[in-house]
Amino acid sequence: MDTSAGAAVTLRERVLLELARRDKSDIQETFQALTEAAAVVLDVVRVSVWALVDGGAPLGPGIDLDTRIICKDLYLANERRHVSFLPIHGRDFPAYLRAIHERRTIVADDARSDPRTAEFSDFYLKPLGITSMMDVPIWHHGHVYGVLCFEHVGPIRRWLPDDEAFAINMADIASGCLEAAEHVAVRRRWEMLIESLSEGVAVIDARRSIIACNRAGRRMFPGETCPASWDELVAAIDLVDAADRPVPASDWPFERVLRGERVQGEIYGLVFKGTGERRYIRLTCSPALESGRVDYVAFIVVDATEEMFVERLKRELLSGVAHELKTPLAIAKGYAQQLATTRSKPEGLDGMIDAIVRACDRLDHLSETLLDLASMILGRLRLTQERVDLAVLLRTVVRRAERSAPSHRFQLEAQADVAVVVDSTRIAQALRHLLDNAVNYSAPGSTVDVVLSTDASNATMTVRDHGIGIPELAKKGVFTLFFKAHAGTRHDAGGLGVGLYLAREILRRHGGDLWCEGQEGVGSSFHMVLPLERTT
Amino acid sequence: MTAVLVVEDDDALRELLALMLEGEGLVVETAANGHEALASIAVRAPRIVLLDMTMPVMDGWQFCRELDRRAWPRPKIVVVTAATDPAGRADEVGADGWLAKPFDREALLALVHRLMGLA
Repeated sequence: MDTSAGAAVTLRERVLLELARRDKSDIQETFQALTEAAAVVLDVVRVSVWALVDGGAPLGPGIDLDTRIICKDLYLANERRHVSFLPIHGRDFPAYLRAIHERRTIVADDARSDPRTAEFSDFYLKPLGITSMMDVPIWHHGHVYGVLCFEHVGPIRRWLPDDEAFAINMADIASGCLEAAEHVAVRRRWEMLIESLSEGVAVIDARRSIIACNRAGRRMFPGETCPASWDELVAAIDLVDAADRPVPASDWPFERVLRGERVQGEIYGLVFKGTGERRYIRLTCSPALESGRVDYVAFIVVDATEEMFVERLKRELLSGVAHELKTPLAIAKGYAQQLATTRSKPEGLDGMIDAIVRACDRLDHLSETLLDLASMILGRLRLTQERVDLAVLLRTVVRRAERSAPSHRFQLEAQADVAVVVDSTRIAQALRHLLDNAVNYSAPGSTVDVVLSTDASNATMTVRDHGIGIPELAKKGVFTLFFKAHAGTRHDAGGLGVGLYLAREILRRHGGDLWCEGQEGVGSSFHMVLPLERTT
Repeated sequence: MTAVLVVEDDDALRELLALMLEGEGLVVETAANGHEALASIAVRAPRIVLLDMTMPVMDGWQFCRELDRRAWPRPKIVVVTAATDPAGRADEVGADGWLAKPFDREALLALVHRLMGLA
């Protein structure tokens, strides 16, 4: 029995196993371990790893002679040390480079005469006393990354098939090392990227384990520490919506995403139970699905505390101002109306009183508009549902318009008994905005037509004026908030540019719509559509 | 017998409401807050209360709760409010009617006459 051969196999196996096992994330360390182990096992004095650095031409069948061959590590067994070596140029060693690119192991027992390695003779092999070479390509992503080189010094060595097999194994381990290092590098890059994002990013799996949380995410929490578990998170915060209403645990965004709902840019408040501190966030949750089930959920969080503060300021200010306007308005309007009832009035008083009442109505209309805008923007407009006859409603609003705009003639054409279920105050408001517009953008003395018609499922109210019309280019924009088609022109009638926006919002929230047509210089028609009350 | 009690913290508005109603030949009492209103009701037993909601000392909500705790014949209550949802305000306190500020003189008088007919 050849026991030494048996022992050698065991050593090879052990070395391979150990190398396979080790953490290969540090590429240089692994190369060093590799060259050292290979030198010992194969009893070779020089083992090295070289990388082929692409000169720019595509690798493959055509050989890029600009390739440089760079020494990554060279282990000198006799000196027991790792050194480096000067880079060499592919141009000087075309046969070798070709052999490498044929992707075969180069086994050169007599390296100085072997056609593949003879190029190295004078410059490298003879000066260093190298007689035999065995070079194995190291693969990476289907290309040759470099070579693992075994260089024997002394009498010519006949490489055995076992030696070659071992060398190939070692080269494979080097490939694995490259892959592992790349994996780690990619992962680190991602981690750094996610860590440096200004948005908070957290990942929670379906079992409620918090898998990751970046720096911006940690900053949301007191002490900049993300809760370690779901239970800790739930114990630490209460969740409220944008209107500060508590969100029950079953409706937390995470639960909703598990149920297959979308959570996209929603505003929430985090109330920290410990301190009572409140922080608002804008949250988007992206589920990662595996075979149709949510595997984990990525949370993207943007701090919205300041945004909410501004929103609240706007809301409080807007509704506060509007509300505060109403009492003085009630006083002015009421006294004017009271004055109008006195018997002995000086001449011209009626007209003055009329003007005061109209001014009050305008102010009231303005404060209503501001209030509506505030609640509309905040999505808080609550609609009531009343069954009304649209014809009656229309007549009332038109009569009021006649009073406040005696300059125009209103022609009402309405069929009777048009039953709808609506918030009559809001619909009247929408209509008022359209009538105001018609008056503001048509000449005194002209007519405003108001037509109510129905078809099988809808009622349509049309307000048509014979005024300046809307420029073609501006048509798309008229329903946009703060849009004024005639701003800065002689037709600019003032106003906030919110009436048509509000009117359309009101119609849409009733399941209806509002659109316009017409021609510049001829007039405009605005059509309000509302679904009729279902009779079945 | 008092017909209407006007509860309003704004002096000018309170006087205006009284002026309008007295012009119709109604007997009117006034109060500047819920507390004064309760004292007035105890003595005068008005048939209608015009009630502002936001007032110092005792607001409209508290006034209604206090009123409910007393075994007095309940007057008709009309909420006079600047709120965006006046009908909702009226519902909150179980009122019999509402007026949105700024109100129309005719609307006020029509409502009061209607409630007088019922009361």
